Amino acid sequence: MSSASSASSAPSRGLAVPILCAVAAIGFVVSLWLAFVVAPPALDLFFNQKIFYFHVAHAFMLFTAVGVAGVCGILYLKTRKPHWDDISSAATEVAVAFGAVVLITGSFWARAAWDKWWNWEPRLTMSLLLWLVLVGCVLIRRFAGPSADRIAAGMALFGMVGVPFIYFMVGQDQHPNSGANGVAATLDPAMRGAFWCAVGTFLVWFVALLLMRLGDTRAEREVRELRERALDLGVIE
Amino acid sequence: MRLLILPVLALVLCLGRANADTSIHDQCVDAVSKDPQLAREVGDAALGVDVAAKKRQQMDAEAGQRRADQDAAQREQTARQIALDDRQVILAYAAMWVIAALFVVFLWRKQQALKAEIVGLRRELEDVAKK
Repeated sequence: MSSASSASSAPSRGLAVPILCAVAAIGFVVSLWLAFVVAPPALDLFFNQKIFYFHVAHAFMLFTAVGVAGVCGILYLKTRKPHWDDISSAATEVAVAFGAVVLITGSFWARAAWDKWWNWEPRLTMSLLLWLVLVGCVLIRRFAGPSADRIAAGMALFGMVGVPFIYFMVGQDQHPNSGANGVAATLDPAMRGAFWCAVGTFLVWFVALLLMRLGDTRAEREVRELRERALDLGVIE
Repeated sequence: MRLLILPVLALVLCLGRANADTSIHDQCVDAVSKDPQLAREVGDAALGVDVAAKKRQQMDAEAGQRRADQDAAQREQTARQIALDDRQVILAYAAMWVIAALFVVFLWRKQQALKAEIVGLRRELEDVAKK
C-alpha cells in the first residue's frame, strides 16, 4: 500500500506540476503581450477581438480534454484497468472547468459581436449540451454508486462523439469568424503568433491541471482501498 | 342723360374687370413659371389629384427616411461603442482567472482533505496492526 501511496501522489508532489505551472505562467504573460501589443486589432470587433485568443484556445483545450476523457473511457471499458478510469475522471473535471471558461468568455464575446449575451445558434447550443454532459459525468461519478465509473466512461465517450459536430458546425451558424473550419488558417498572419502561443500555453496548463487532478483521483482510490481494509479489520464502521 | 351714363359706367366696369383679370392671369403665370412646385400643384389640381393627400404621403416618406437614417446612425454608434468598449474584454479575462483560481483552490482543498484522511486511516490501521 505504501508503494501505491507514493505512486499515487507522485505527480502532484513531483517537479512536473510546478514546472508546467511555471511554463504556463510565462506563456500566459507572453500570450498577453502578443495578443495586446503585437497583434493588430481586428477590423470588425476592434479591441473586443482580444477575447478570441483565449476563448478559442480554451475551446481547443475543452476538445482535447473531452477527447482524452473519451479515449480513456473506451480503454477503461475495454481493459477495466483503473488507471484509465482515473485519467478519464480527471480529464472530465478539467474539461468542465475549461468548458465553463469557454461558455462565459464566449458570452462576453457574443455581447461584443452580436450585442446579445446568448443566442441559441447551433454551435452555442451544442457547446452548452456538451458541457452539461460533462457535468453529468462528474455528478454520476459522485452519486451513482458502484457502477458509476462505467456509466461515466460511457458518457465521456458520448461527449467525445459530440465534439466534431461542434467543430464542423462553423459555416452553418452565425458564429464570429464563421465560414472557416480552420480558424488559424484564415487568421491574419500577424495574429497567428498570439493565437498559437495562447494555444500552447493552455495546453501546458491543461496538462498541469490534469496531473494535479490525477493526483487527487489516485488519492481518492487509495482512500477507498484504505477504508475497505479498515472496514475488514473493524477499525471503522 | 341717365340713359347714357349707365352704359358708359357698365362699359368702364367691364373694361376694368377685364384688365384686372389679365393682371391676375399674368401674375399667376409669373408665379407658376418661377416655382416648379407650385406648377406641379396647379397641374395636379387641374387634373383632380388630391394635393393634400400627396403632400401627406411625401411628408410621411420623408419622416420614414429620417427615422431610418437615425436608426442606422444609432445602430452604427452603438456598434462602435460596443466595439471600443473594453469592459467585455476585462470581464472575459476576469472570468477566466476566477474560474481557473476556483478550480485550483478546489483541487488543493480536495488534495489536503484526502491527504489528511489517508494519514488518519493509515495511523488507525497501524495501531490495529501493532495491537
